[in-house]
Amino acid sequence: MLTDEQVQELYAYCNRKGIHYYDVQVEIVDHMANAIEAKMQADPSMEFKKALEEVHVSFGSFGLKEIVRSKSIYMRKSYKQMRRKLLWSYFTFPKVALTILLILLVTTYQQFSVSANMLMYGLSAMGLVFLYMFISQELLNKKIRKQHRQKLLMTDPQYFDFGFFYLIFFIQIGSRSLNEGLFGVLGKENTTLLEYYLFSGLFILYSIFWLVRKEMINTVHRKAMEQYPAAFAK
Amino acid sequence: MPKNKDIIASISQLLKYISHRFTDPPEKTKKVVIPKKIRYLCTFLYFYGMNKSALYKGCLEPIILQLLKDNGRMYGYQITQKARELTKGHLDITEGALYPLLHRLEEEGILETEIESVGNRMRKYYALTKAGKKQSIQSLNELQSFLNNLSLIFQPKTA
Repeated sequence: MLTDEQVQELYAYCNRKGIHYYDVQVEIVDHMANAIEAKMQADPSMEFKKALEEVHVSFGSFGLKEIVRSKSIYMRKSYKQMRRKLLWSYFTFPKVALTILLILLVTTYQQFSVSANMLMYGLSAMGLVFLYMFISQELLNKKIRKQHRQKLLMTDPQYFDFGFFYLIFFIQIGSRSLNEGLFGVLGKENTTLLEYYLFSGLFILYSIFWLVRKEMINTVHRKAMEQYPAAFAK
Repeated sequence: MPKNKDIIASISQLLKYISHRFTDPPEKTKKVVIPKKIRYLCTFLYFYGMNKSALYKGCLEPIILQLLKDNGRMYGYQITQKARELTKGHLDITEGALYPLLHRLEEEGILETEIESVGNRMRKYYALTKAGKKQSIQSLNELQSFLNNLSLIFQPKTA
């Protein structure tokens, strides 16, 4: 059995070879440690460093890189699937019906005894709730990032890349393109109305994407903390 | 088997042809017909010279699924050793081939993983999921039909 120092040396070896993700290192270190132990058992006079050199030859630098590359590809695929699943869960009957009901309530508010001011306050409150959710999630993400003692491939931000950029992108589509393109065809009033619906739709979509991202980050981090407790600070 | 004289003559013909390709313009070169025997010999030498593991490469997935089916959960190094032990050292699964495959099977939901602390290091175990058990039967059937087809080519009388 290898000593703690020797195991740490194997982790350092992985880092030197450009394998910085702890979840990949764990597998490689265990494999190498087993191979080294077998070599040292077969020839007790063999030193650890000599055995490591021999094992390194069998792995090869390209082999190590290939492991990270393939893991990254399959992880991206699995997260894509997870995202799709979560996304569809927002398009179930009760959720879609509730959204349509809310839209109808807002658009037909004049028929109820609700003043424009009240509606404005209601929408502002909703906006504040959204803002609170957004800030709390960002704070949570920051906290999670700080908890990482080791870099993990499974929680790498590249897989959850859905941020502020898309919000700006959606707003741009909603406000500019239609206003200029369809102004002459539909007339100013109709264009404004269409723009209003389009903007609302895009905002709802953005919110759904954002909620999906939040759910994904939470699920993946929970799983990572369960699987690799040593990668997180207590 | 072709005679040595034939081989030497064909190789010299081949070299002549290659050298012509580099020195003369293509339209002036004469077409050299390589005898059938030599072509078969070249094919045989190509496959003989090839790493034996390359022949196993396409069968890695059913091999791993079968090993996991027989042994329950296993870790990477254990899989390579078991394969080597069962084939008496003929099948040497490289790390660069094993782990990408295991990661793909994990992503496809065929394998599930468990991480445990063993002494002073962590170990990742792989096991078949329910879908994986079905897949292992299917891949074994596919492999069987592949072997049958191969035997039809290589041993047409006995198959």
